[in-house]
Amino acid sequence: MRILLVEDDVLLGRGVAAGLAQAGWVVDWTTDGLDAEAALRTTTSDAIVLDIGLPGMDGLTLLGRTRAAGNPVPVLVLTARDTLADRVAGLDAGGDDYLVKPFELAELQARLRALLRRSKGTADPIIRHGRVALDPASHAVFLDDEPIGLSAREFATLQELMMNAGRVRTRSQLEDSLYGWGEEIGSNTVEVYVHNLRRKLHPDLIRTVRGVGYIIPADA
Amino acid sequence: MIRSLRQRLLAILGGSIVAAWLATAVFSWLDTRQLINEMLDTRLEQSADLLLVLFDRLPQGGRDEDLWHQTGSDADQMIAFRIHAAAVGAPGGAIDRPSLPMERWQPGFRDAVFDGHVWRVFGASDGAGRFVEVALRHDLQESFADRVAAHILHPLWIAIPLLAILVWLSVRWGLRPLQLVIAAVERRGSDDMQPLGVGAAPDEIRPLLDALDRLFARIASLLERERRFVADAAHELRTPLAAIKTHAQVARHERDPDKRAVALDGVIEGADRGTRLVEQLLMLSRLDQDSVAAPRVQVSLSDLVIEIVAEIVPKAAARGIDLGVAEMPGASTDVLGNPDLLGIMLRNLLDNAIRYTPKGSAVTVAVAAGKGGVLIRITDSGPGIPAELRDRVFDRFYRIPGSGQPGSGLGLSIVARIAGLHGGTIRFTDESKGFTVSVMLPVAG
Repeated sequence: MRILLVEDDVLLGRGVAAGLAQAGWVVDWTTDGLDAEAALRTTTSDAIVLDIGLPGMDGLTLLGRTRAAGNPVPVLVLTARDTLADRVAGLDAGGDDYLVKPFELAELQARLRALLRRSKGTADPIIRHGRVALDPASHAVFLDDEPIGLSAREFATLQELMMNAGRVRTRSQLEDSLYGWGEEIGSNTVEVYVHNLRRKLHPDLIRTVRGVGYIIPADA
Repeated sequence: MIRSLRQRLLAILGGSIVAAWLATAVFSWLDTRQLINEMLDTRLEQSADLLLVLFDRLPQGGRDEDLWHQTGSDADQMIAFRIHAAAVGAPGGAIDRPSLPMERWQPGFRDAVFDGHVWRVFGASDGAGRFVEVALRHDLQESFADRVAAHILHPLWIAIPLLAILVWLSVRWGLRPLQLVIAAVERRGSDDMQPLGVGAAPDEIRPLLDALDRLFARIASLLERERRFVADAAHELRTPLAAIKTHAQVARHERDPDKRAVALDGVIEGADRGTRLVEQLLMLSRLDQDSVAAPRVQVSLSDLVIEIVAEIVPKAAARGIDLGVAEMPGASTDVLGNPDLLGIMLRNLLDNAIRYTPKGSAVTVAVAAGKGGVLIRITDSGPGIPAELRDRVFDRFYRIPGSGQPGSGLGLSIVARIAGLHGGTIRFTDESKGFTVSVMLPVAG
């Protein structure tokens, strides 16, 4: 999962980025509204954590323009303004959720998980596919109710594929969900993660679409 | 001084009406009495004329000179007369005056005493020796006049209570618009600062209502400013608090010791920022009291500049900035002021300069003494402040968007306030390469 964090306060942004990374997400962080808009055009994010007061373009304007462009990405508005009018304005501009600073990191993570879940069209916090169950909150994966140990990136790869069950994820899409801006990507790392997942879970779980990417078929 | 407007109006109106009533009554009284007296005098004249006409038919016995004949039983009607004939038909023409014993006869009106009473007497003669006198008792005449006059005053007595009621009602009705305004003011909530709306108010109250509305508007804008200040302060405090909390929570869940150290550094940095912000807020709130400029002593600005620059040089060096002092004047740079506050002002300005100027460049402070006062110029090679934002940078919490530096937006507000307390002015000027902030401080402070 790839989260775009837009927060102009360097200290807070650093903390939130670290907190989101702890939850296993890939975080792209920008401090400027215009940069954020550019990022939204060039990178596919699964969710946005958006501050309101921003240089370049304020958060509500950015939100309005994102929605006007038809981008349905879940947006969690993060702000120090907590009056009813501020909250209503944030939600009416197209925000999906609202957190007032200072906030609990665990709550931010949980709300983001809920937003991501809903955006993928499911209300069940546990993602299930056949014998495999994945809990995004605890980062646990079960095969026939037995816990399976996965590395962070293996987990992220599996989550990306399971949340998009029935749809092909291209290699570059999978890489996008695994690496932030500026991170070095190994040439065949995705293959390695998929190989490990097949080995640890079961060989038929992930199918290769030759020359394109991978798919977990929808449940029959 | 009567405090109640209603009592005041009642007193004024009541007093005026009583005075007017008294004047009317006294005038009517006197006028009526005079009229009655004139009327009675006319009656005496007519009676005298009648007596002269009837003179020869009167009983001769009645010609006893000093015998007054009285007629009428009613005291009001009581008239006395006496007649006298002097040698009627005597040669020599007209006889003006009676011969003795009717010596006391006089023509026209006079007062005379007989019978134990004062009488109003009218004497007449026909010029041919016939003399008559008709008299009316003075006290009876007076009491009659009084009674008639008192009668005339009866309607005026009715007017008194009627006027009292009308005055009371008029005052009540007249003050009704005032009551409505009072009710309107009383009804409003403590935070309702809308204009009262003076549409229906009388012209006399309108200036008061206009003044009240202007006051409401001033208070509203003051309240709004305070409210915004508190909201801004809370907002500014929330960000470092959120940063502290987030970093602390990251640290708690982080197993990698290096990353945990980074997160803990974030906690400390956030706490430092919050502390600085609170200190600046306290400083601003202290600066809001005008008395804060005391104690005023002679401060040598060149000494102060050297002291503060020396204090900040290590911080500047850490950022790779060459901070220095140029052109110190030989003349005195003393101003009257508070050295602590002036130090804070310089520290804030230098702090801004080294934060916004690029690494490896120079920040130079110059002091000059002139006729108008002492001029401190701080020149850096940073981006400066865009001309259109130069008025706004003194606003509390205002930060130039995208400056990329942490800060509360209070530093220049504090600078401006301290300069203002010392009667100084601040100017921004663009240099060929760089930006200068000038503070002009008058010598007198």
